[in-house]
Amino acid sequence: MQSRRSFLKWSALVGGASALGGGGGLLLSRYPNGGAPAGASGAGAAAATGSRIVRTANTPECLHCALLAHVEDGRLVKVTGDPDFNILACARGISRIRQLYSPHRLKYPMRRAGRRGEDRWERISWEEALDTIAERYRRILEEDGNQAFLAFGGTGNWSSLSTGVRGLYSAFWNRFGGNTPIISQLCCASVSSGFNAVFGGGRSEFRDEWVHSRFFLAWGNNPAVSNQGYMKNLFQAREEHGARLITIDPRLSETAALSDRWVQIRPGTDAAYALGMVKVLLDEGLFDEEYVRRFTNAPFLVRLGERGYDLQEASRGWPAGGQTLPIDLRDLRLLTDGGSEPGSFVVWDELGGRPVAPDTPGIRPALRGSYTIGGVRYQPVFEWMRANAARYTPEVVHRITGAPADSIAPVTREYAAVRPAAIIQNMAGAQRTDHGTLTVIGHLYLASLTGNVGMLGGGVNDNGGFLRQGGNINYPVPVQSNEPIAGIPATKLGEYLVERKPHPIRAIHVAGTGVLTQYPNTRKIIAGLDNIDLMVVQDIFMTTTARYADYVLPVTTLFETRNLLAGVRSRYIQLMQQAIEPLFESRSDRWILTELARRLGFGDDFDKPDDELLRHVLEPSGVTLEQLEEGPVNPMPDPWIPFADKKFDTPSGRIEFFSTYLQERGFDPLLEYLHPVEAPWVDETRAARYPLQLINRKNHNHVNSSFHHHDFLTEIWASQVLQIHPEDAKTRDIEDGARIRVFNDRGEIEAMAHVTRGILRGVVSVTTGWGGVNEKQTASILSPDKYEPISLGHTLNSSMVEVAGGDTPAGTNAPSGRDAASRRDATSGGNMA
Amino acid sequence: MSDTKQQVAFFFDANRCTGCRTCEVACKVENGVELGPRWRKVRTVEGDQDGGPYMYHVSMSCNHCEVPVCAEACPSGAITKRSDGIVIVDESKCIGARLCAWACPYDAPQFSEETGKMEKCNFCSHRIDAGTGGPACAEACPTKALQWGTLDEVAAKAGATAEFGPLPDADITKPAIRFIPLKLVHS
Repeated sequence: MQSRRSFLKWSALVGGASALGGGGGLLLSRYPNGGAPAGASGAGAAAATGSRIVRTANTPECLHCALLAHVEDGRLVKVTGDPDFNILACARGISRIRQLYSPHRLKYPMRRAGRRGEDRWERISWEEALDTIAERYRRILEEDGNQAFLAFGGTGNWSSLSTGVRGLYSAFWNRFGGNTPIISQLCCASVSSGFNAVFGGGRSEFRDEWVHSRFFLAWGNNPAVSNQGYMKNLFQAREEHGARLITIDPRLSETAALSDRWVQIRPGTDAAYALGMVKVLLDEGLFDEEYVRRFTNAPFLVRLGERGYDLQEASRGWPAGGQTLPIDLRDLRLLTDGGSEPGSFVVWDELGGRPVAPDTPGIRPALRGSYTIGGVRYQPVFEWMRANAARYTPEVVHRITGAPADSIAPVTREYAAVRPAAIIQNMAGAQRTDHGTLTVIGHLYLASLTGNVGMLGGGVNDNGGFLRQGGNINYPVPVQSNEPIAGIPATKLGEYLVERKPHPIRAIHVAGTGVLTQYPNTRKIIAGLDNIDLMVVQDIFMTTTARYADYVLPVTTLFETRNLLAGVRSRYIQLMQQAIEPLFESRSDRWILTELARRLGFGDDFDKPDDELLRHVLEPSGVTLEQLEEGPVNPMPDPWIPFADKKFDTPSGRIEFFSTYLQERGFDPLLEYLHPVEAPWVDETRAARYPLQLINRKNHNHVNSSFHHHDFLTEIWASQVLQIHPEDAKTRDIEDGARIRVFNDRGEIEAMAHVTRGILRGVVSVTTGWGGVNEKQTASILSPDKYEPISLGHTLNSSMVEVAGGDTPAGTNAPSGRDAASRRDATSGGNMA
Repeated sequence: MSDTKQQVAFFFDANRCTGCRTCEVACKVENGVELGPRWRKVRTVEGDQDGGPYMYHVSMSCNHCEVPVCAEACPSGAITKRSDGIVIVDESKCIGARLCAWACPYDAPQFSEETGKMEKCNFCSHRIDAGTGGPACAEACPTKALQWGTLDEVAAKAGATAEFGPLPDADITKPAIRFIPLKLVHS
């Protein structure tokens, strides 16, 4: 590492980041000083001498912050956040200098020399590694075809010439002829299905527009951690407009702690709370009636049964929420043939007293009432929503969610009182539950009823970015159409490998993915690796996943290559300039893929200069490399208002409270609450052994499984920490700071206990990830491998465990004195000194 | 800044701190602090009020006190206070007695196993002196929870107080830091 003294000398010479040009008003360049940061020499990619500042960006599945790499004499001396970018980089981004120069980096290609996972290796040359891998791939391909291959190219590096969305890695496997796909994914499948169900697709993100919001409801989501760079906008809205912040979470999260109100609910019961709020909105007339008539299918007429149904009469006997209805909502039918236009949906015009097509001019569609058309009784969808939500009285919601019965009306009134109001659910933990789609639909119902969708600063904030705004890029090389191959559901990886479903997998290739620290029921996946002939991992460190490989290939960090970041986590497209020459024998993902492609006979399209590929990537975006040399570019309209035109890609073109998407797939078309499958009040047999609900939280130190190896971060966050309520700790004789075991029938992990009233009794929480040197603390070992039925998404927050004192030695991962001290810092029960 | 000879100071707003520790890491990256010593630390405070739990974070380094008790405790005269108020350690004079650490109520002086000497936050005096900016920690804060200025400037901010949470009485060392405590309004 650079010594401190030379830092001082350097800083005096070159100047700090604040010497850069101020924020510019130009749309396409925020860098009015011509794009050359102070101190930049303008020399070639990796000049060996002189001081310069090189622009790059942080590439995991995070916020994609712009970074400035400060280089002196061919050596990186400092990383800072770009002060002119829309957000400032966090501890993870600027600690990347420690990743670059970490003594633990993979330095050369290696071949397994012991049992799989034993961590014994022999050094080999690149040529031997690539030749052997290519040869074995070719043989497997000949014998069993493309379906014998699994490829994980993940969220460790989302840039275009690596494993980014529409990146080179995807193109490689496409040109290979395809491989067994992973169906659905672990992160936000239930967000997609929820948006598909109600809005017909699309995503909505307005983090830059939070400054315009007048109210925030952070729901099952912790933006103070997962969107920490954008929190300044929320704080600005609070300070300038008095915007209030309410958080719904089982934990006193970093966001909940900063909130005006915190509502604590049981994991997996969010949809019940949402229905309780819907009831208040409808009962008290707090919804936007004109908006609902115009832009949603709430007035569409619907019937149950051949002759229709007397909803008002029959719904009087309906059971409380969370219980099964005496009728099947899937039998509801939208009227499509009784209006003036054949085939159109139908509403009842209150003015003319007749059924008409929804968009007939001069009508007033009824939301209430029951109408007989051709001897059949119909009601507007709105009436069904109201009847169903009526079952979610404050007492019922309290019984299901554990939240105070008297919290629901005040929260709802606050939410409905001001516009624009934002629900922040950004890929919430609450949607990684057994019925996560219903949680998301609950949010969309509330935002739609209050007319917040399509309003600047209002709506449901989800993950965003250039490609989610309708932006477009190419794959770096032309892609082809391949024969479809049956896939493996993301959560079922272990089971499918063990049982060789849907067909045997022989080779697994991994690039920058924590397969063994993110995919659930991880022990089962490790067991499934016994059925694999060949596993190749390319990464920066000997990750937990890499340890189980047959071949490990050392990859460069983002400072050692040229690349491009244009994706789904930032609106900005960014050029990642090369700061220094690659260290050791590390090579870029791009180089490795090109060399393999060449050996496999399709390398021509890959074997071109970087910039030729990058120009091809950028072509549909309208942004040029020259622009990007000067700094990040936001090519999309600013400010951004999702669904501004109030056009939705649903069959009706409207917001669909009555979801044809869900009905077509055999699910209830209306929002309903369903109990989680894995919860103590549902599965009493399991509760006898594993009585605690486990939820996973994100922390400031990791992004999924990235940053496990940054020592500046592990110095602060030394250990997996389990949060547990004092009553639950007391019955188990667990003291704050104790070394404990967390386990269920899927496995066991180690953690340090944090006894806190900041978590609901009966619920415990661990942080996602942990691997590498901390792999005994890997949370995914405990995660269930069932999936959400609508989205096939991850359900890691519908999980049950037991916790016990650490009666086994903690082994090599035992915390040192420093760990204990840093933990005290992190949770110092009010005593700071 | 050094010409004005006004006491420099930190400003911390607990309502804007997410606990991300970017300040801590920015300090280490800027000053080349190796593993072990932590010139700046973010601590999390938990407690109960009106029947409900609360939590907030505090980012703190050396507070460059108006009454630097560390300097008074140092047997070798290694700690001095500059005219702009920055309290600095002259490592060439430090004998590693660690009496400063005993004296400081804020856990600011850090012992380096590597050098056998004490070290601590110097308010990024190299940046101040070169006119290239302020402390790296404050400039890196993504939410502006941590800021810097002259003591007069930060003390003039609305709601700023010298006393904060479980910290010792500010009259003891007169720390050059002002706080906005968390507005606890849970219900």
